[in-house]
Amino acid sequence: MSAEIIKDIENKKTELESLLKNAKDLKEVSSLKIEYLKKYVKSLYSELKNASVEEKKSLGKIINDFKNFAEEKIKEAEAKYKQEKSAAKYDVTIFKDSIRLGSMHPLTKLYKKIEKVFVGMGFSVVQGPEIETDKYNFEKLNLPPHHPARDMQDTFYISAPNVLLRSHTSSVQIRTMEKLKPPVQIISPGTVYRVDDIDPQHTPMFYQIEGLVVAEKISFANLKAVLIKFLKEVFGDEVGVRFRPSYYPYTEPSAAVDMSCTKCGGKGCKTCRNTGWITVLGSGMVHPNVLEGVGYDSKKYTGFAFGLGLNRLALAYYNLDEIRKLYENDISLWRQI
Amino acid sequence: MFKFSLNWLRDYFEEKIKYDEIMNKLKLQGFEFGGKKEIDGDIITEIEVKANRPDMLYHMGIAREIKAFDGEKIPEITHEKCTVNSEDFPVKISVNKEVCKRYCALKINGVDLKKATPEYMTKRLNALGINSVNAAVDIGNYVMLDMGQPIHAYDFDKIAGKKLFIDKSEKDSKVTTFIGEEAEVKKGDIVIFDDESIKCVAGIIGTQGAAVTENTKDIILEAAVFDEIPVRLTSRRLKISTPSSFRFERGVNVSSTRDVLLKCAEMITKICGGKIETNIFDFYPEKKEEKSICLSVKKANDLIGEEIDKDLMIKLLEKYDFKCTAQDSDTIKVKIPSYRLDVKLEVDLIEEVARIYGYDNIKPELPTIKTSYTKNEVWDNMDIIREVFTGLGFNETINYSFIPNNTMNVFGIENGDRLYSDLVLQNPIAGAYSLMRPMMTHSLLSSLAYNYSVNNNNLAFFEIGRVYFKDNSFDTGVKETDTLGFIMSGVRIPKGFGQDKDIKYSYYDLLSYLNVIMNRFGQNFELRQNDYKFCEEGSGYDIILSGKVVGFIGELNKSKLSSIQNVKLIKDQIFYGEFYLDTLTEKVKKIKFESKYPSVNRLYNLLQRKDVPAGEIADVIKSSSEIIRNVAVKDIYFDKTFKENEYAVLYEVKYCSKDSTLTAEQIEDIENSFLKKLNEKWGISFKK
Ligand SMILES: [Zn+2]
Repeated sequence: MSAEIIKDIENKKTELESLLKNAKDLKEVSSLKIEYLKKYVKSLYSELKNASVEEKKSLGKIINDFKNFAEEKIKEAEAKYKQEKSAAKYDVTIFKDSIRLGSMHPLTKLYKKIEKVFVGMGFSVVQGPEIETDKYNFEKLNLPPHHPARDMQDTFYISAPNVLLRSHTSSVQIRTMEKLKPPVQIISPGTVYRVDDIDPQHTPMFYQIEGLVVAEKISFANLKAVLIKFLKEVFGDEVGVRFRPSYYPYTEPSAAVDMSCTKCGGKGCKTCRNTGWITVLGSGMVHPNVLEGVGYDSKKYTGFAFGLGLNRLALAYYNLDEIRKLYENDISLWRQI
Repeated sequence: MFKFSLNWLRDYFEEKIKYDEIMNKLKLQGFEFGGKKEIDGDIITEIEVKANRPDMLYHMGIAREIKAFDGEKIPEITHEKCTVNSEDFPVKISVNKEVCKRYCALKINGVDLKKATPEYMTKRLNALGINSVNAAVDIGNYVMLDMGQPIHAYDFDKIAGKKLFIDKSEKDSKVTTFIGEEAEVKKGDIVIFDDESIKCVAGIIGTQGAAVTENTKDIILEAAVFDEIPVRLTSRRLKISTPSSFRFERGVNVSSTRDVLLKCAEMITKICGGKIETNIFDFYPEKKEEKSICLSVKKANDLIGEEIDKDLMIKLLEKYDFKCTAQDSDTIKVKIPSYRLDVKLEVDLIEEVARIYGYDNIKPELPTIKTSYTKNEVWDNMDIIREVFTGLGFNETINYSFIPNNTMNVFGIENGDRLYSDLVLQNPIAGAYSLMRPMMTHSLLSSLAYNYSVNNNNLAFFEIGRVYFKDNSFDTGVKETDTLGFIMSGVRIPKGFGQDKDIKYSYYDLLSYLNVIMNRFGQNFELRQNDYKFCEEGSGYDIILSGKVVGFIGELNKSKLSSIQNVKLIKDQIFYGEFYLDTLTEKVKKIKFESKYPSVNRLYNLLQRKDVPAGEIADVIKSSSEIIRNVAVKDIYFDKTFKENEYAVLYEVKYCSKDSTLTAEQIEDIENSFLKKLNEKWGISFKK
């Protein structure tokens, strides 16, 4: 008896397959589903009741297999029809070019990411003038007239020697400290200017973010922790950070901060000039002369400051080749990010 | 930048040092390097010497730094004995101590300058970019690159009256430098002169007047330390920068001047013969005492954020030639080596401790600071604007703050106009980047035009940046205002997908975008017509907020602005607006009206004169009943049957009552009342 049933099951399998293949629509598939999966399987189970104990085991398995087989095949067929049905009405691969968000400038986009990290750590955002006086751009930063370190920053003048385009946003920090009593914890983002002709790797204007923390008992260890946290949050936990001695007239001790090259992961490439490292920040403990210059007691308060140029960082971040492209505003580039 | 030779450095080491090893030691101490070049079995490397470390501008200094890394020292400079008797020196020298910190001179008799400079010396000098002149000059240069002290040689026979004066020049005069170039000395420059003429522009370059030649027999050899600032100023003005002026500007170790001079003289006599006169000249009015600074261990540790114990601190400092004496449990008295001109304060010593201890060994620790976040409203508003404008499909640009110097002229803005500015840079990179922009228009128009030139068409841009105006109420003499500019041109919604015509940006889009952003801040603005020449006639309007002009809108006049690069490529109308962000504050609006009853919309097609603003008509309609919730303009159209000065405007009026479901009669009553008012006031008729 069971041999007959088994044979019948085999036949029904082939039968179902060919019927499904020729089914014209979803309705036909549905009726096959009722016929084979409901009615036929039900009849098989009632046959099973009459079988002997040994037969029950093997036959039960065969019936189950058939049920699974039929379910799968019917599902496939249903899916096929459902898909065809909707494709007939809409092509869901078409998007209107005219409906899109406008693009943010890549510098803004990267800046906002950085700002978020610092604001999250409790920094406030302050602004100040781009056209500055020598006093705020140089003198109050421990850079008296004729200091050789002024050579590092070739300055644009509105009226020499006193009114100029700021060469860094440290000037904003001085203005802020003159207004506020410690503790202060600020970033001063903004456009800065240095005399440079426009070519693929140079522009006479760039975006800078400087930061400043002044309070009691602020240490170099604090500076390290804040900057490591910042770099890891923006560039990922795997990024390596190192601090090298450096020199800025307004900080003492001073440190240059390198990050392992994000392009090659530290193996060495064109971007990192084969060193595996990219210098991203200048930093240091605020020079006591600077603190005293704004009326802070340098015996009571210490602080750290840092600065980073966003444009160079953006090149590495977005894989852009030419720095001047950041000011050409070719919208086809912005749209890719 | 200073270039050093590996072979030269090796003179200071017993064993043959490895290049990579010494580079590594220097890098760990924070020095940075430019290019390197292999020449003839030697390696020449550029080191970036920052302004604080002039002691790294010569080979002995670099060797000293490398050795210190391992706690070793370089030998002291040794030379023959001499006596100082400045009175009896064969040349009467008088020095103004205001311009010169130290002036040493000696005389060598009977040299033979026809003798060639030793090959190893010329090879090294050439490799570092210095040409060979004659043995005396070459050895002077060699000693400078070796020990950091610039040396100058005079032909004794050419010194008129056997007198030399080191002082500020009393008048302007022309000199010929020893390489044969003219230079104009100005009154006040430091010069070295005899009874007849200027022999040397101090610290910068010698003149032909007393230059040593191969026929020179007796030499006056000079080693001096001039004031940094005058040397720097004169060098900048003359545009002459020499290895010697470069060093004087940054500072030369005044303590070793005489030792180096004697060492140099010794080398000259070894090579060119002759004899050093034992009596030498040394003007050294303010002898630099060995300087000591007290270092507090606690203060150092507080600033560094580590617990470095006193003994370790002493050990670290002594490696680098800082001699230490423990004063008490917390204080170390530290003697500063004479060549470390940068170490002046306790904090400079703390940096040395941190540097030698190793920045990498300092454990990071997040600070806990109690500051409150200060709200920056203008800054926050910029974020809102970016969200709104990118949401509306505008793309953000950033342009240079300086625009072409002829912009005012091109735009037809005259002196006295609100937007006029002549705030130009004194040293722009080019005329096209020289006027600090008083408006964003040129920037955004240029960006738009540039995009047309690279085949990006149909665009809307915005930019948030600053505009600049002269204003003496600011300490900088300039008022800077954060400003939003926006521009659009071409097709806004292209034809297709069942729509048979392109919809282009229109003047009404410009107005509506302005309205959207003003609404976002809850601001009620007014527009007042202005005849900006760079706008099409009748399209320029000032934006007024609380009685103040805060910006303007208009359709740009393409023919007037066609000289701007690529503007000719833009075929469609260009719409532009800008306004200042400093007065923009967000006003919170309250929900005033709620109703559970349904609302009803009715359309009214009104034939009206063009000079009656639709906004005023809408106001009249709205004020006619509190049941009217909203009045919106849906269309404007022209028809041949209309009079010349008329058009039809389609208004949609929304009715809703708080108290009941409205009946057709109620609405009709209100309708009749405002239609009557409109007819009485402006003769407006209802068009079916
Ligand atoms: Zn790399």
